[in-house]
Amino acid sequence: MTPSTLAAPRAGGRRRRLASAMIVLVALGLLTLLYSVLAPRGTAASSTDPDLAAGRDLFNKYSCASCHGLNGEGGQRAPSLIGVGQAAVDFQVGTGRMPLQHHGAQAPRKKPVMTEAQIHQLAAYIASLGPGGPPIPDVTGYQNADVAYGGALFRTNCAQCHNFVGSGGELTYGKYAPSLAEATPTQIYEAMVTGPENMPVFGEKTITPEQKLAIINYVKSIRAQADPGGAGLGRIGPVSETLVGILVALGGCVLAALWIGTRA
Amino acid sequence: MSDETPQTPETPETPETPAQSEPPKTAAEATGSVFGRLKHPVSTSGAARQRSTSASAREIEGEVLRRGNMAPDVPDSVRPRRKVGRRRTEGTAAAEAAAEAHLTRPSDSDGTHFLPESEHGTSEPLDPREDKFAELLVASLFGLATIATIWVCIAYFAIPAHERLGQWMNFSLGGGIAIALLATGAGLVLWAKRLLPHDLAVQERHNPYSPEEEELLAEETFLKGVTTLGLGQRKMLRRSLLGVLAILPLPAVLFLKDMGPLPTTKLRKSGWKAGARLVDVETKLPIKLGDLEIGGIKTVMPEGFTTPDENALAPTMLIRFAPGEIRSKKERAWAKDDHVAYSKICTHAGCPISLYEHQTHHLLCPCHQSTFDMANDAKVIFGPAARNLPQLELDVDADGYFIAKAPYNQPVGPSFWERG
Repeated sequence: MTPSTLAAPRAGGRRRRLASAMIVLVALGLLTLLYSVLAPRGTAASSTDPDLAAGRDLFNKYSCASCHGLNGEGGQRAPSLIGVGQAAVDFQVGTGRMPLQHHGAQAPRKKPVMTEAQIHQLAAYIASLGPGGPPIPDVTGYQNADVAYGGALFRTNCAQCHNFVGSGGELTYGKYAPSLAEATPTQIYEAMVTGPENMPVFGEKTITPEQKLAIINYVKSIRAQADPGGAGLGRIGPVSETLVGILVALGGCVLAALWIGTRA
Repeated sequence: MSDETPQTPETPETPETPAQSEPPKTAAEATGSVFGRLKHPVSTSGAARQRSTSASAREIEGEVLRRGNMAPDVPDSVRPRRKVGRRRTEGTAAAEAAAEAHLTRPSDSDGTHFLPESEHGTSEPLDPREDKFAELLVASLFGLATIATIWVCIAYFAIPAHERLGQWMNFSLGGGIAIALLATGAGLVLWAKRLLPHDLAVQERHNPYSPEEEELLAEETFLKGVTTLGLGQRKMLRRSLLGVLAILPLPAVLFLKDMGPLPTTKLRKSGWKAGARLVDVETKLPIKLGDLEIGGIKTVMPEGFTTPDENALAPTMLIRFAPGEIRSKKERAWAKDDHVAYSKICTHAGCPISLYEHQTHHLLCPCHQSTFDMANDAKVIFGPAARNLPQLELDVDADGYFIAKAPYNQPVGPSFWERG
């Protein structure tokens, strides 16, 4: 796409005619230099890393550019991808939110369209577009983090939107905080550091990595717990249970009594 | 509900009453089911102030009279045949005599009388096999209930109580008791339905009004009492009575004072002082400029706070905007490098708010959906909140930590009586 990526293979393939190769090289080098000066962000894929090339292919294959712009510079419909970092890509594509099927209040979680390796290639490519943004986090050993402390942190920082056991909740104008039932530890971490969509960003200084692992451990262990009554009823607390009790059970009893009355 | 439910025929399979699907001719048919009654109400108030039996009852009597079965003034009780059950000994003279005796038996004292079977048409082929089957069915339901009850008793001891947070125990006990109760109830219902005689009894309603003479008499008695008291003439008595009635509730009002100390100025103090550092509510560590990412939030308290409970009005939200996102001039003036601090206590009912959407800058209260636009003076854009959230003026001290430049300039949280 950019001249520089074309330059590398050509230069490698023409060793026999050294002079012409040198001329071509110099010409292309000048072109690259000119491009990098003129184009706003010319550093995109100046490396020959095969991951970057594969990532760029994926970027084109899944038409990311139709919303995010040819170089990920963003557009009217989508934010810029420059400097978002690998964690954001891994979260958005890994949870299936991107590529977006249609524009709505919020991108829903769905089955991811790429494999993990592909997502990492794409993430590497996006990260090469510009510096900044968090890398894909390492969550190994989160099981050893303090669950109780994680619970306290979760209730302070997360529960207001995601519910105290991560069942999710409603926001304004059709937006919602999703349930954390399916989120992997890495995805929870990535969501905290990148702040996808309307979620606030909880950077490493706001909530330290140790605290984040504690939160992850809390979420994973609370989601793994059994529901004593069989059905969790969304785990939104005593209100949902009372609602079911009154509407379903009591209403069912009244209807059954009426039905028996009609058959008497 | 009654519109959707078709009027249930008394016995769908009877050939003797041809017009089952038509509206009931008699109230007896209409009273057959709850829905039937709803659809064809037996009106008593329609025949206003007539001290007599209701229209429907008279209708029944008329019907009965036409058929020549009963005398109009003494409704006789008629015992119809059992629907299923003991076979009636047909053909014998004794049985004929017994049936005749039923027809001539006087009604109950409250006017309840049975309708003859031909009136509501419950005659079915009597089948002893069906009778036997019904008995077996009911007995097995009772048996099932017994087994379920025994299972509950065994499960109580046999199942480990804390297995899967008590899930197995709950299933066994709850499920067992549910099966036992349902089976018992179903058995009783089936017993009544299949094995008991299906009589149709009519109890007439009486006119709910008192006779006019009685009403007039009561009115007269009341007025006479008032006149005898002499409230009209004895002015002193009347005034002193009014006086004591007026002052009597006063102690009850005074006792309200014991409900607790008055809040005095407590509701006006949030716990913030000028120069107080903003600290994390969990770690109690101060926050440096630059700790928050753009779009980040943090719940902060004044440095040195004891517990969140004792500083219920202090919780504050620190938000970092992207440059240029703050729309209000006043908000920008009180911000520090795109960081703003607002009270976290909703001005409606005092719930802590932190459902923050960093793209729309909406802050949503989970209790009553009050929504504040945090980029524009925390203005209320939806919901019942009375006022914008109060803003805390921010500054940074020499070490680069956030401090409150001044305490809140107004009482935070919900309105209160003395707030003004």
